[in-house]
Amino acid sequence: MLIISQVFRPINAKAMKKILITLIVLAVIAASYGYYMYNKPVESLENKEAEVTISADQLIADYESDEKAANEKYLGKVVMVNGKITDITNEEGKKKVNLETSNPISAIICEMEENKKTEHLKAGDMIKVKGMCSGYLSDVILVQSVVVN
Amino acid sequence: MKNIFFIVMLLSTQLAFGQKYFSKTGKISFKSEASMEKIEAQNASASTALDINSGNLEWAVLIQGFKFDKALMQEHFNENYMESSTYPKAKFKGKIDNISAVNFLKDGVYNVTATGQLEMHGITKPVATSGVITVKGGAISAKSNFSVLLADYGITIPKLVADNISKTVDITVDVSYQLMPTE
Repeated sequence: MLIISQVFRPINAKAMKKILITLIVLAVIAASYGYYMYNKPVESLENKEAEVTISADQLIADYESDEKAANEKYLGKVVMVNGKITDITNEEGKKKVNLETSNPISAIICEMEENKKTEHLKAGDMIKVKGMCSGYLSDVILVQSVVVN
Repeated sequence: MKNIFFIVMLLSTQLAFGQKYFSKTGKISFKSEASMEKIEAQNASASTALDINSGNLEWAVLIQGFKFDKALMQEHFNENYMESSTYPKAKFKGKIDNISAVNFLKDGVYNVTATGQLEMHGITKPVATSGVITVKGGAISAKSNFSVLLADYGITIPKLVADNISKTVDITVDVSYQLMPTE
């Protein structure tokens, strides 16, 4: 008995130490991963694939005919819209590019992703914009938009 | 001559008072602070209309248009708390009670109160708040701050995080109005 414990004790202590260190390392990894996930900023749509591609006219038409059905198709999705710029606004650093639709009082309002340049854009340009569709308030509003070349 | 003067006066006052103002760039932000968690988000594309004659006031905002710094917070806000795919909008419909206290022809900062119905998360409740209307060189802007109790709107906080999340939320609205084009 004495011999056995003498033989095994050092091994057990070593094993315990290994297990402990492994556990601590795992806990640190889990905690930092948790912290990283918790603080992770909202991801850019730059490298995200659009789920739907549609013209500005068709998008507004879908919302005008049946808002609920349109929300099922577009709300919360990354939508690529083709359209003509009517104007670009920049209020306190918040840039918006508005696209023309067949309805004179409705636009596709594209809130641009922060730090995105819009200087090269001008009214009348035909562009493709990718953004997250946040719904309809007489205009369809896309957020986090980026211009696609 | 006197009559013409009178008619002109009458017309000009009607022009100044019988008008509707609107904006599609209304700002709404909210903040909730608890010991552990500070939650903040902004939306700069709210729609609002104000009739300066009757005091009728309307606001509408898209829930998924609120911007957060943290992705996870934005996700939880939309999916667990506001259920924004089912309830994509929040709306306010009401009145500025003392609109007559505002002289829209004279620059100044006017204290007002507003009451109405606030709909969010599919539930409508009465709200009352105070705010200011600023008239400056013919331009009209409005600001208000009020707080809502999440439980009033059926927004439940999971028990596990109940101590970390405030039960009330402070909402700030801020807008510069434009004259609504007449049809």
